[in-house]
Amino acid sequence: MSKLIQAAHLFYDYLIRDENDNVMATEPALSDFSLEIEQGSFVCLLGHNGSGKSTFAKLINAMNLPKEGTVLVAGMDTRNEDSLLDIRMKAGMVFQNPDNQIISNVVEEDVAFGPENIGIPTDEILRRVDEALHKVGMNAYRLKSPNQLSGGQKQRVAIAGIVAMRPECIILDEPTAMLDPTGRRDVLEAVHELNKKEGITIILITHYMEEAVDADRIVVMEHGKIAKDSSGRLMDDTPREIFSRVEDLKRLQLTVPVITELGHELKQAGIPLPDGILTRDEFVQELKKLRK
Amino acid sequence: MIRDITIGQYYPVDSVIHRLDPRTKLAGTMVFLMSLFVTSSPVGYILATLVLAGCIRLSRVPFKFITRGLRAILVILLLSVSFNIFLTPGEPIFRLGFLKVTKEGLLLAGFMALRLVYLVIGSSLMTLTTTPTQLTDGLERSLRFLNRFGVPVHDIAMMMSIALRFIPILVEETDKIMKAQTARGADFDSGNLIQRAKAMIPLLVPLFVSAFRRASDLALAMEARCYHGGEGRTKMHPLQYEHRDRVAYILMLVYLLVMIATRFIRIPVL
Repeated sequence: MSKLIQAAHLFYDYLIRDENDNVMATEPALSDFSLEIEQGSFVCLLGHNGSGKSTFAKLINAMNLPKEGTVLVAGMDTRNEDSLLDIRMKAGMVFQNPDNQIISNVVEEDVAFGPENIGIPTDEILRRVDEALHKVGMNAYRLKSPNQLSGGQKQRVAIAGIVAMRPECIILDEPTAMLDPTGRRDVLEAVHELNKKEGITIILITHYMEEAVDADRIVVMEHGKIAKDSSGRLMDDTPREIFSRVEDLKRLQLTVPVITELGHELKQAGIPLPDGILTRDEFVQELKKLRK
Repeated sequence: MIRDITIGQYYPVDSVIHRLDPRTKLAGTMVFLMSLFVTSSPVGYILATLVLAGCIRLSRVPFKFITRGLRAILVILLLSVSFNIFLTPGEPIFRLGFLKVTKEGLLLAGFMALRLVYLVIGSSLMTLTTTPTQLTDGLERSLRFLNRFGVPVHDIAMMMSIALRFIPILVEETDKIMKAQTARGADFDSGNLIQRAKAMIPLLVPLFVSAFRRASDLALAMEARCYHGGEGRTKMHPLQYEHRDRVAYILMLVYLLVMIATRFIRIPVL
């Protein structure tokens, strides 16, 4: 598999300014952060608030530029202004608040916004909008106003708006934080579908550990770089490996899925369960094995 | 009161009026507004009423929905009506202390009220039957010539359509903040005008903060979706005049001419 995103030695600071616009202090958000993401993979970025996840996300599609280091998206440097639109086309971004990223009062017009911006001909736009709405299961709401939709539906419209640009990668920055459980499930289902069927690379930033379980790879961030566990290994691995390190995650102010936590507690209490149980089914299987 | 603003709320049904080109509807609204100021005879107003009623009927937007916008201008309406009733010199009908009600005043007030009401209904009808994007497109296309004079037509049109999109969201938010502040003991409904205005401060501050945050989020989202101004943009639904638009333009012209004509036809009033 080829590398879609190559980030090397990134540094990024937020500047805190006083009333006269003089820089008072700098708040480092990324410090020597490197990460490569494979085409077609589903990567989940975890980390508590201020660990640099969103900062990294904004560097990928050139919303911000790194102070030091380079980001390559499909081989294009984000510093190069000529490839700005190409990069944003390749790496689309979905934000937390569904209301603040929908531009139009009609669903289909909103989905068409991206393709319109990049100058796609009219009949091609119609085809893409159709396709994108089908892919996220929102075709029935095509002519509705976003105000009539639930949060989860609005978020799926926002995803369709990105899909219509035919991206290779979608970055989702806490897309489910403002949704109810049903909306959350629908959005994740749509995202997984896009990953499996269309081969779109997904970078999911989330606070919900249950959402990270189904990823191909989890990267835990802390203080602007990839976190290390107690034995010095980078916290960048499969969900099973990451969630085996319950104590490390807790130290990083993160939780683990409830079922993993339960397995961990039982193991601590002397029951010989394996580490990193991720689903309820798995848990049941392991318990059955013990009974034999 | 704030919930009653219907301007900028699209009512999604399929009708002839909905399907008209936004430029046609813009022109139609302009013609209608102009006609209200051109005419001054009852015949003119009767004609305007008929035309407006016909358009509402054709648009299939419920009448109740259209008139909701009127509540927002109630204060202005009452003010202008009372000024006209009491301050127009002419043949007195009766006196109320130092105030004198004249026949001319009553007539003028009536016409004034009708004008205002029709003005709001006419423009609401346009926004109710045109999606903001269409409206923007229409404005952008009709005003494109201003580009030559350095007016950023596309940007203004975009700002307008975004403002329209966020009206219902901000209204909802105002409602939420109001309830939150009421729950903490704020009082928006009693006291004199100054006290009430002061009571609005704890409402407006969070509303502004949130509006700015939304604006910043939206700008980011638009940039992420490759927005870079009007240059090189294509359209999913490019504007194209159809047969019905040509018919509409002819009808508009006829209507306007008739309305101008009513100015010169003297019909004894009352």
